Amino acid sequence: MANEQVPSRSKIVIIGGGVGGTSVAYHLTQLGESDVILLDRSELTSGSTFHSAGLVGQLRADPTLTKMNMHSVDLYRQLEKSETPPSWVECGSIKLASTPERLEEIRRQIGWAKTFGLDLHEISPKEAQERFPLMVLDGVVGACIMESDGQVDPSQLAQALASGARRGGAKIFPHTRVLAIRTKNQSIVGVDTDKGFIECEVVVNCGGIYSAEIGRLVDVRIPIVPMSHQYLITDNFLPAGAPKLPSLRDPDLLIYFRQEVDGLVMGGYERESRPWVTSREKFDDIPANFNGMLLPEEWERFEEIAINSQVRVPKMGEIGIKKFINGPEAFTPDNEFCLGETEVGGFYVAAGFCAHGIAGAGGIGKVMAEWIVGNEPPMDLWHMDIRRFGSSYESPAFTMDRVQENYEQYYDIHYPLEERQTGRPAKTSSVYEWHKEHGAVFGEKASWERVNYYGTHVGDEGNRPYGWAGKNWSAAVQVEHQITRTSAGIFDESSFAKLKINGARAGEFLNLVCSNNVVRGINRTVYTQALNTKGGIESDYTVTQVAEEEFLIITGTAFGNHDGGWLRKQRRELKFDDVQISDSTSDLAVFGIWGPKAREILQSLTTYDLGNENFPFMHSREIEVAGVKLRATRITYVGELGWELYLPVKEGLRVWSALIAAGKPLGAEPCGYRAIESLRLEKGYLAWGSEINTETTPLEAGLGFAVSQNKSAFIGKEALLADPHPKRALVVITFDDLKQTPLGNEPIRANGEIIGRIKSGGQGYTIRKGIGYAYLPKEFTTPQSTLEVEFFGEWKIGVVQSSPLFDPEGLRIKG
Amino acid sequence: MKIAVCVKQVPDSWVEKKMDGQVLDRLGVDAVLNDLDEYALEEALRIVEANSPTGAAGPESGHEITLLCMGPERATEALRKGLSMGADSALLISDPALAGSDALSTSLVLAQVIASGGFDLVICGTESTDARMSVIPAMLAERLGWAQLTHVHKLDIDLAGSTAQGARSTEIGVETISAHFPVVISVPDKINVPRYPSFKGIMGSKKKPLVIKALGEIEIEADSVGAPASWSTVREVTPRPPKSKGIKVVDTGDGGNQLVAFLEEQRVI
Repeated sequence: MANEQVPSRSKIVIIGGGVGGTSVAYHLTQLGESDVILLDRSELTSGSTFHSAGLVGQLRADPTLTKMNMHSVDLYRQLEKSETPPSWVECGSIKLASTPERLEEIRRQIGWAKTFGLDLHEISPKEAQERFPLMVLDGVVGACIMESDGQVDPSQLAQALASGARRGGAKIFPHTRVLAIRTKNQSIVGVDTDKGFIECEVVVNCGGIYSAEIGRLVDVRIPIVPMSHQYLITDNFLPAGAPKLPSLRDPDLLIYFRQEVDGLVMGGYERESRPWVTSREKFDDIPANFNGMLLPEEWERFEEIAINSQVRVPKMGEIGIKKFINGPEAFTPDNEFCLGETEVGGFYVAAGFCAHGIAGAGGIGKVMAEWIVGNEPPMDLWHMDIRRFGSSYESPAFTMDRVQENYEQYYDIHYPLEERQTGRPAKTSSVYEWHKEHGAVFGEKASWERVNYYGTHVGDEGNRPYGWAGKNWSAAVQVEHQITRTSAGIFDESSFAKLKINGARAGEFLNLVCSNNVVRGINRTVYTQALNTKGGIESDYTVTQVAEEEFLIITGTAFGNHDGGWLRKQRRELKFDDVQISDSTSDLAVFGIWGPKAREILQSLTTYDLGNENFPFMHSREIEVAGVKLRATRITYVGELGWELYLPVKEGLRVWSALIAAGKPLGAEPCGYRAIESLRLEKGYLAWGSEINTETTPLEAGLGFAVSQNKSAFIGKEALLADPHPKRALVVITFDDLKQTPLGNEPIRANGEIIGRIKSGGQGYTIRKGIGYAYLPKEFTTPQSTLEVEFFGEWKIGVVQSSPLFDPEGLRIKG
Repeated sequence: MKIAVCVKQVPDSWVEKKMDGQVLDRLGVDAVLNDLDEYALEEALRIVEANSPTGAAGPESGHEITLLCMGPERATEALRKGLSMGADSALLISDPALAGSDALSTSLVLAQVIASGGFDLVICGTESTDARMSVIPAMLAERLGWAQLTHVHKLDIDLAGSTAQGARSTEIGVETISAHFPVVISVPDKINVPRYPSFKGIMGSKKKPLVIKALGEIEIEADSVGAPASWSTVREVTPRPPKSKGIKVVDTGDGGNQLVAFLEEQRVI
């Protein structure tokens, strides 16, 4: 075995033989891709798979992950009938609520489980106890059960997937260490191992706790931290042969249980987390021989969980503890997987399973195999996409702070608009100090510190939404909304991601990538999407041609890495190597001034004629404002007349102060991002990641106006032409009670049947209604028709409206 | 009744061991409570439980189990494990002068603390999984002038009669032996199945007394123990030879007989 050589060529090389790697290999072979080699530096499962607890729960906080976990269950069920069964037991799972808030969370989850056809239902505490008789009900206020959840033996699962992959033609080489990964033109060409070189096109990094180290071989930062994660196995004490207990989660006590032989597995998330061989000062440094090994018990840290477990299951106090397991698990800074293609062409990653990789493995393998074979994500995987991690995660300190914060709050209820607290402020705008001095309440997006609203704006508390939407709500937002609609709001949008595209063929390149015609002459600004080959929206942004061979793309704060990554991938694959793509996000400050008084205010600071004829909508000019030469673009994201100003960061305070001073006499005020959200929802402006994503087409989303019918070719055109009349469409639904505010994922019912789920929602302070967006089958999209939406177990009437809700003729924008 | 259980901290026997010159490399290897000592403690706990008004060990039982150990300070980890299983207190003799002690030194130290402790029973495992000498129980009995019941796989304690009776297997049969208190007993691993510590045991163990004493405190001269005073020295170390090939029995009709003959030769049956 030791002298065995690896094959000299394979299309795909997978690094890592845990549940992740074996599942990717299995699913690749299922898709008919058999030219696959899987390498592991030791035995299969010897990283963290072997010490996983093996719980498989399907319902998660986002629809995509839920769908993936549902695939896992289907697959494990099917594997159980194969020659290599992974000991899948469909014992069901119970989740307890020990607080009223947790019961709300459960009811909300039950609501959107309906939209997946998942059999999650509420049961009484008494019924929960009947199913799990070991527990006492002290403090339990409610419970739910999912019968199709279960448990699986993690090592057997990996072996079963490996067997399936082998049957499909994949070759598996344990005890083969990757020494280097070779690239050419930022694309994979091969892998050097201690058993020889393998030429390949694709490398899939399924390295788990070792994945960051593997990423460093090609200078790709994978922000994963191995975290010490503990659970224990009790002595056998349950009657032998009795039906398996369902697994039990009691998040308010931070604990979970599942049956193991005739004893229990019990674990949880410690309030004091502990990273392993990684610190705020340095990246992970895992010993070269760390395989099949565990860490010493950290009883002190586990004690809170041990005490809690006895509160729920008193027997835990007496029963012997057979085994205490402390194994490192790969955690990401936001507890979501780290998947997808990296900046190096053909270098994929599927890692960072955050101690729920056993539940996820089936789905992860499926989406990764489809991603690799199809060359783009098969569904909306943005939450798990490696491109979501911006440059801040280059820092081990920032990464560590976020990982620990998330680990320690794993079982907490996460309300909408909750803000992360660690590592702040990371990136700040040129007028950050001004905001601070003027009462700004900040939020964070992609590590940028941004104004959510100004606490100085005192509004009507009576409009606080019902339920969770009211938790992180502020009355200041409606005030800023009204200021923008009646005078003008002045917004600091400096965090916008800005990409510069240069080169003689820049226009040609962009017109291939973008669905709209973005080459309309210098100083013209165009809103466009970039589609994938299925017609799904990969990005949406504005493109301004600033010179013959130079374009400026402005996109969302969190999307610079993603949209830039997509552009760089297309450049590589379409062979536009001469086109330059650069990120100038931190070079430019961006301020927006929008509202009926915007022209009057801005005109007072410039000699340039801002009149409609001289400066029409969707045009851009280099002008002087308050003595500073800058680029002004007449565009809006709130449905009001106005401009965005792009200027050198060092002039930020000067221009900002001038805008504020000029605006003051006319009632204009600085406003924050939450107001933008409310304003845009009324106006029907969509946000990528909220209403639109890679799974939705512009035609479904009502964005057909931004697709150029005249262009001979652009990515996704064939798919759009193939389905010119999609069966579903995005609609806006209103609720007469302004306080009835959807959050997303609420089920929608018509004629007693579930027809969809809410995609996004908020409050419209001008129209005085609650607003929700949803994709619905065409037959349910007639304006003024009514339907029902479930809020925390109660059905409320909503009305389908024609969009936009505010200023449908766009008179205010062009005014 | 006062019972002393002698325990040792050893390198984890599941881990491959390395030699650092003439001595075992103890760094980098998990140190654990000697497996075989857990049987001794379990037996002590069962004796107390059988004679406790509440059926449980601990202060209310009217009996006391003390763990005795000689070793480095790190041995407190192993003692905590014993306390979490149910022992009442622990005494660790730790002193730099003890480094390199052989079995004679060890038994000298342990006998010294046992002699002054007022114990009725001393229970030991049969051997430690690192040195595997299996001589300490006999040496203790010799030094203390007590009776010894070694290798007993079954033990009955008659508290009223202050008598211990044990059964031990020899090559020719089973001996039944008994002795009056005080007595030194050693037990093999077939005597019982040691319990796992429970949460209550683990958490309670932190409050139990664990005393560390130096040689001066037990009135032993430093030069009477440790490497200089050892009667035995390690002159050479040879790694365990690789496993030799087994004997293959091909069944041509008398396979069963061959197998029995082999097992008899090995004195397994």
